[in-house]
This record gives sequence, structure tokens and C-alpha cells, in this order.
Amino acid sequence: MENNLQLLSGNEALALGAYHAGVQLAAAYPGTPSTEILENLSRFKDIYAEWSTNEKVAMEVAMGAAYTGARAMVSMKHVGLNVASDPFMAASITGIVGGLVVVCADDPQIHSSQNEQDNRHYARLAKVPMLEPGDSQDAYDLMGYAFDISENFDTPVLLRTTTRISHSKSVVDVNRTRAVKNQQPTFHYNVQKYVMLPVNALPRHALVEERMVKLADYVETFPMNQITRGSHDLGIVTSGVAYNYAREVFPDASFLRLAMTWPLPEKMIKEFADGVKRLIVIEELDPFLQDNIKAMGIKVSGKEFIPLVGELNTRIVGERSAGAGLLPESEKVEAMSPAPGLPRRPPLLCPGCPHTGIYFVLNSIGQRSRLLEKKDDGPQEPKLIITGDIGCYTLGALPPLNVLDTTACMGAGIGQALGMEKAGVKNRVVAVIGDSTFMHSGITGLVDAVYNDGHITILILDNRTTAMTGHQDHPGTGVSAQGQDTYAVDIEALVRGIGVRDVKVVNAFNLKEVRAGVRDSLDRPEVSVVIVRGNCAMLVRKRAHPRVIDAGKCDQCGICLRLGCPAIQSEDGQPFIEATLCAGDICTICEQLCPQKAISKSEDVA
Amino acid sequence: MAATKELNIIIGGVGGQGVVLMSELLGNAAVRSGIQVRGSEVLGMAQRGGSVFSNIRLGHGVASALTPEGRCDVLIAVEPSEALRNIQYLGKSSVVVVNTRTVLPFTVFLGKSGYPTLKQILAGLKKVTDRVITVDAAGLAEKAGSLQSMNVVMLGALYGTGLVPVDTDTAREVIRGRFPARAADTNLKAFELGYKEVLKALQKTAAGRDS
Repeated sequence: MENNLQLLSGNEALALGAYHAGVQLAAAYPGTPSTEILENLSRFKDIYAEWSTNEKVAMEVAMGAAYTGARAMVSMKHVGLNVASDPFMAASITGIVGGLVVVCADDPQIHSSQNEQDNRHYARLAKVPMLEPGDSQDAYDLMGYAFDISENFDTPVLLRTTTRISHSKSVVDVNRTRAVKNQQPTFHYNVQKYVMLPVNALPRHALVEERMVKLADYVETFPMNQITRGSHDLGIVTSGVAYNYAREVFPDASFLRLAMTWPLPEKMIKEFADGVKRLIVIEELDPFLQDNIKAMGIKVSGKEFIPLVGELNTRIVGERSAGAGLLPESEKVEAMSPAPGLPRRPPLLCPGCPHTGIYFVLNSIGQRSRLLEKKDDGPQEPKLIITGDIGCYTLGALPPLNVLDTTACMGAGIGQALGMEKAGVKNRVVAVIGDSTFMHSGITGLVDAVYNDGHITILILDNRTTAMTGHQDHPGTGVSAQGQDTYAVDIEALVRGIGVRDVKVVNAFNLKEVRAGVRDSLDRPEVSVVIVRGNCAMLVRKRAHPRVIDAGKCDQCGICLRLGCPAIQSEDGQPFIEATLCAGDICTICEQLCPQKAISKSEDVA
Repeated sequence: MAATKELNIIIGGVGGQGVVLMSELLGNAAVRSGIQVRGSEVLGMAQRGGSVFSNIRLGHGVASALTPEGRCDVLIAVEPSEALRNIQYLGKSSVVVVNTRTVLPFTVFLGKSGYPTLKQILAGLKKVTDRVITVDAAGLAEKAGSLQSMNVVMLGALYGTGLVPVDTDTAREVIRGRFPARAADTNLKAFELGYKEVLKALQKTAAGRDS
């Protein structure tokens, strides 16, 4: 057995590839499906790795490091690059010294995101080279090329992965070891390169265009862009995960598999196209390759039959190709549809979640259950408008809690709330945001609300972690990405410093305190902030004394079921608490809630 | 890498049941045996009670990490209704191993959806393939010493089908290496119980066919 064969996910392979390529600094903000890249890198103690406040800051940190000659990497999910796009564009025009690799992980099928944008367009927009792995081996290998290309062409490199690459596992031949240059990072004075005043920026733009010409030459010889000659009848241009599906559907076709997809190898594509009767592109999401190949004057099809929306798979590629006459209908896989009528398993807030109590309070104060009951009655106006944000607490939009009216992107809720209020809605507007999201991009929204004399309530649900993506630390937790104790940014002091006069901190597991705090804030003619603090139950993991329901006292009113706690279940109308799920002493929200006092501590210490 | 025939394995379950660990144990044992492995998981916010779906594809010709519909060789359902949720991957000759222990989804408690009976689930599966085996993995796991080892019982059950081209000793080595000593013993016991249960069930079927 060869020892250098390892079963790695795409993200593990990217991290190991970067480490072996000599990366010295890595920065990121967590985001599915990119999170594990930095998590894996942070375990190497001979490099610096950080969770940054947001993706923009992460990009700037990496950019600074690259200016000193260090190899630097920044990783983020696709929408993170929207946040980081300003410094990303800037890094393109200034160029770098040490290699700068920007990893962005797109999420076709929206497994865990708010959209499914195709970030390949960013390579064209920013005029930077782009690499796309098709499996874990590619991810590992391309990372080596990425740093070299970056340094050789004085440019950041975009490495674009997708959920299916990042979270799939395949065998990797780990054939390199870390070769560190270990030079002392040094910054050299160079105003023309680094200070983007108009007088410097215009000549830099000309250099960027020259760089693109050189890269266009280079890509013609890029060793991981490969032609596999098969039948002359059909030629397929593809990249990333789509290659794997195309290969399974068309084992005999000719393939041009692109691993470097910007700039495109025009000569190679023309030569490939000339050798086949029909040329198609199979790619996920937008017709990025197709449109650019069309612009070369080559006849090509693809998105006429391959869907624009969602992930591809072997069946979809097969069915659509058969529909377009590329395959005999008989070769279509006869697939059953998933069994109908199965119980759905929507994600829930966990037992002991600190968001449950505040959400129950918002549900009752805002009479949110009525919105569900009158669903078919035409447009409904919520009594309390609640703008949401991105995190575990977004799950509160689902029944039975049903407490969010909007969710757009990181930090948007506060600005949206202010906008509604300033537009003149009669109802009180509340913005709900988590601690990590507040750090990420809620602060500037709050500054705006204070400056412009808003009359909104902002609930900061402070569970002391970035929970949704798997409990990463953030500026408020006092622990660094590499596990060191560090400064903790004090949210309360920060909010007061911005100028909010009404700031309350309430215990998330004390229902009375939470209700009183919210009610008081709603009455105030000013910006009011309630920090609802309680540790994420998944972090505490201390289960003691699960609660029990005394069926004798219980009158089956069902109010405990409206908490949406997975531990509270029912059989023939009688609620009961599943002892193996209940968080017990750390929570007790249901016990505080029960009008019949039928819920109490069991003597069983879990 | 050895050239192996394509084998598509799907493991379906619910968050918290240890499906991801099962595929890790299987994948690593396959890599040790020099077999090409591709695998992909759909976690569906698994930590929060959602469905979990993991597929492991063995064999040299496999390109995609996703098993195409209709091409699953073995479906391991750690939760019964999750077998039906993945029925579109089954073909006529697929083997299905179903754990009989249910995990009711919250929507059932809210009265928003019903939960099929085990009989309905098995009948649904048998419309596609008659090779359906049930295992009381919870009972066997408790016998092994911990309910938590239910996933490794089901891993043993997978090997019990005789379809996995990996030596069971390699499977045991990987299990032993993955857990601290005491937990390793429990899990190895769980593996044996699941393995033998399916072996027994298959022998019975074979005997039934012969007579």
C-alpha cells in the first residue's frame, strides 16, 4: 500500500495543498461550504491562521501579507466574495509580491446559502486567473499551481470550488511536502504599485491588461487543461464537477477538460472544436464557458438543454442530453421519483437553544401564529415587523416559531428595519441579528440607525459563537482560530460607544426577563438594543436533569409544543419530553412557560 | 489502485445517528485495501435533526461522487423512513438493509405530516427490490454495550451483505484505530452483531429458495 494515498474532502485537500505550497498566512470568515479550509489550516502551528471579522477584512489581511512577500490565502463562500469584492478588485490592480490565492466556494443547489450566484464571473470582472478543481486530487494539485501563477504574473488567483467538490471525498496522492522559503517578509516602498491614486491607478490598469495577454499565452500550455480524444462526433468542453457527470454520461466522447478557466485557452479550444462534428459545453449554473467560447466565433451549444438552476448530476445531464438528441432515448436512466408523502425533516433549533425563548416571546408579542392561520386570506400585515439575518436563528422563520419577515444577506436586517421605519410603516420594527453576524456587518447598520435617529429595536442574539457553520470563534469570544486566548470585543461596550442609550443585557434562558426587556424596548422612541445572551447548547453540552411532563397536571394545551423544541414530542395529543434530547438545567424554558406547572425536573441526572 | 467493479453504497439516516462516521470508516477501509473511493454527503443541517444522506462509490471507473438514480447496489437505512426517501436510487437487484428503530420528525408532532408504518415502508421498498433485510440495530447496539454504536451495527450489517470488496479484518482494524480502547471494544462487538445478523438473514433466504 502506498502511504501517500489519503481519503480527503475537497476542503481538506485545498488546505493541505496550500500548506505544502508554503502558505504562511490564511484568513477567512466561516461560511458553508468553505469553512473547513481554514479549520484545517489552523491546525498547522507553523503558519498564521485567523478568523477575520468578515471576508473583506480577511481579504485585506491576506493582501497585506502578500505585499510583504509572504504566501497568503483567503477563503470564503461565494457570497463572501461579494463582501470582499472591493479589496479583491484592488488586489487585482496593485498586484502582489508573495502569492495571493483567493478561494471561493460556490453553492449550486443552495444547500446552505441565500442564492446560487456563479462566481466565475468575478475572474473576468477582476481580470485575474481562475482555477477550478473537479475533485480532491485536483484541489490539492491546483493549489500548488495557484501560488506559482500568482507570483509569476503579479496577480491574485481565484480558486473556485463548489459544495460538491468541497464536501466530497476522494483519494489524493499527497505527493508534495512543505517547502518553505522562510524568507523574512519585507515591505518595499513602491508608491506606484501600492497607492491607487488616479495617477498611479491608470498605468496599473494598463499593466493588468498586459498581464491578461501574458496569461492568455500561458493558459495554452497549462498542464491540467487536458484533451481526451474519443469519438469525433461529439466534443465536450467542461470544468469542475460537471466533468465527472459528463464523463459518466458520455464515456466515448472527446473531452476538453479545463482546470484553468480564466483566461480561456482560445487556440486549444479552436483546435478541439475543429476536430469534432458537434461541440457542446456542460457546466453548472451560468453559461460562462459557453458565452466566452461563442465570443471566439465558435459554434457551440449547452445551456439550451443543460439547466441554469441547481446542481447537475449524472441523471440530469443524461436526460437533458437525450432530450437534445445527443443520446438515444433508450439510454435514459429510468428513475423513480422519491416516495411521496414522507414526513419532512425541516431543520430545527436544538434542544436547549438560547434562541427558543426570545423567539417564543416574539411569536406571542407579535401574534405571529395568526399570520399562519390566515394564510389564504390575502396579504397579511404583521403586528410587529421582524427583519432577520443569517445564522441558526434564521430557522426561526419556519413554523412553529414563524418570527422572521426578511432574510437577505449578512447584516442586512438592521438597515432594512431602519428603512421600513423611515418609509413610514405604522408598526414597530425589530431587527434580529446574531453575535457573529453583528461583528461581521451589523455594526455599520447600527451606526447608521443611531446617526439617523431611528426608532427601531435591535435584538442581538449572543450565543457566544458562530454556531451555524459549526462553532467557530469570532471577535467576541476571546479565543483565536488557532485556539489561543485573546482579547474579546465587548458587544455591550461597543453598542454604547456607538451612542445607543438604551442597552439591555438579558438572560436568554429567563423567559420573564426576556419578555420584559423586549416589551420595554418596543415602547421607546429611540434606537434600543437588547443583547439576549445565552451559550449555544451545542457548545455547553451539559445535560442534567431532563424535564418531565406530569400527565396528571397537563391539560394538553399544547403551548410547550409551540416552542419547536425537538425534545418536546407528543403521542395521541399528550406531550412528553424525550429525556435523551432534553438539555435540562441549562434551559428550563418549557418549565417556565407551562401554565399548569406540569413540567418539572426529573430526579434522573441524564 | 486495484481495478474494482463499481459498487455504489448509500447510507441514509437522521442527524446524530453517526452516518458520517460510518462512511468515514467504510471509506478509509476501502482506501487501505487499495480501492478507488469517491464519496459525497448531503448533511441537510444534520446537527439539527435533518435527513442525512451519504454515498460511497467504489471502483475504478467511477467519476462522479454522486450515485446516479437507479444505480445503488446497497442502501443502508439507519432510520426506516429514510430508506423510502432514497428509493429513487434503487434498482431491481439492490440490497436494502433497514434498521427498524424509528426517529419521528417534529412535523409529525405538530400534526403536519404522518409517519408510515414499518410495514408500509417495507412494502414500498419491495415494489422495487425483493432483497430487503431488517435489523433491530438498536437492540443489537444495546447488546454490544451502547445504544450509540447503532451506526457500527449497521456498518457490520453492510459488510454482512458480502458485497463490499474489503476484507472484514481491514474493517475491524479501521474501527479499532478510530476509537479509544473501551469504545473500540464496544464498536467491534457492535460490528460483529450487525455482520452476523445479516449473514444469518441471507442464509435463511438462500435456504428458503433452495427448498
